[in-house]
Amino acid sequence: MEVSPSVVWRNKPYRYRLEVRRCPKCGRAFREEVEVCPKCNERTERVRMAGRGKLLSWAKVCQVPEGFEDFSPLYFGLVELEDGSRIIARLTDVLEEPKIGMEMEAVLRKVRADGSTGLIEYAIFFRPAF
Amino acid sequence: MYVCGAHVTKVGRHYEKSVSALAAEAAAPVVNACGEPDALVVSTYLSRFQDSFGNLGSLLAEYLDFKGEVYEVSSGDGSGGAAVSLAVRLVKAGFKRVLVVGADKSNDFQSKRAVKDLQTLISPYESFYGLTYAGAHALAARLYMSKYGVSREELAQWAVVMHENATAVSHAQLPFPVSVDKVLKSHSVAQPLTLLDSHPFSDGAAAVMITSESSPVSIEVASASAPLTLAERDLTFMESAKMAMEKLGNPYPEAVEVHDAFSIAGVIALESLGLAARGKGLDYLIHSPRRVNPSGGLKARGHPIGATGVYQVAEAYFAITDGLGKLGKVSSFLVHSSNLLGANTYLSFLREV
Repeated sequence: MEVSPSVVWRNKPYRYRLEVRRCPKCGRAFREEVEVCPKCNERTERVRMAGRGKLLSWAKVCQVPEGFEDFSPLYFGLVELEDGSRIIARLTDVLEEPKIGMEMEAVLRKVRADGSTGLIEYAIFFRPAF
Repeated sequence: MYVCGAHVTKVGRHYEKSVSALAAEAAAPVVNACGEPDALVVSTYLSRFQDSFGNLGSLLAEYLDFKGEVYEVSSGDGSGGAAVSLAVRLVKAGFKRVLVVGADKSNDFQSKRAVKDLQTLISPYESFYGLTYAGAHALAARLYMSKYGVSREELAQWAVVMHENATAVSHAQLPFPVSVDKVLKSHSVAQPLTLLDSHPFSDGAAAVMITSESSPVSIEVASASAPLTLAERDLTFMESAKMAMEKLGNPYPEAVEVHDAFSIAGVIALESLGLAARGKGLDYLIHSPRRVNPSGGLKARGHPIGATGVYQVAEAYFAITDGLGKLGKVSSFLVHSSNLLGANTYLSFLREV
């Protein structure tokens, strides 16, 4: 079994909703449940990253890892979001070559299904904005 | 601190040998030449996933019949550099001799398995939907190329120089020349990077002995870190390399081995170390092709992940004592080992005493 139910469950806030834990003092964002900033000792606040942004760079991954053969090639983008944060995410609905600087928007998509249990993993992808 | 001996195995596909057999093969001649160490520091990375074995340090100690202190050091693809750094610190702290052995395996399964295993270098929230080691470098490459107006043809020069350098290195994995055209036409790994921009999948082991006893080659180390999360850094520059270089006092070495897992990483490393201005790494390479990665680099000597940093230091030692490939003999040599494009940088500066 490649997909762990507990991992899918605990990663839902970031993977489904782009929710991160932000330190009110240093402003750093943790993409998982880091409840207290290890540097500032401040309680982190759950905030949602912006769902739109600008494409800074992209890659078309043709040599895909084991388990992703059905989805080849994989597109990835480095996106600068409207709130100033940055994210590396899968791109979807890529119908023509992406252009640096193009507007992108978040969308929930299927990542893969576990071969033996059928458990499906979803996550936020980015696609060219309408 | 000094280096008193080094040995490397040929980098390549060692289907006949396990990671522990390779490690023993590299280590024994160094112990024979320099004497029994007080401590053994071992680095590996991929073999843990490929061989489902996570206790290489202890098994190697058993094979060497070594009863002293054993440590296994891990810092992603910079593990070799981390092991050398720690060994130098241990000698500084009072040990007379510390043996560093880097050994790794990438070829025990088909390549897509190695691609998957290498994803473990990347933060889980960036790797889980398929981002690969090559993919991360491809994002950096496109960003760099668009920022500095560098063409695909220009970037291909990196591989051309590396392969040319490797032709004179007996332990290199890919000691054959390639042309710009061949680099561009090789199949796409992660666009804009092609197969010939990429390190090969390599097996191999290297060993060096660090000592406090006077020896013809001295070594100093410096390290620094930056965020691992790729989205949290400038992918066109390695802050950690700049910081580590400052700690070393910004020396100007006669030759350098940089951690070019992919062509773009080598270019960015030269700039981050301050050897070239930003956006001018390829110009530096073209003007000093024999002084940059005379081994052929990760690109052509090969990249046995957790062993690579130890190979680089062994090569620097060879360059100062006997000469290395087309570079010949030099009196100072800088080694740059890096974990995932500069999340951690480990520098070693070797000099003729």
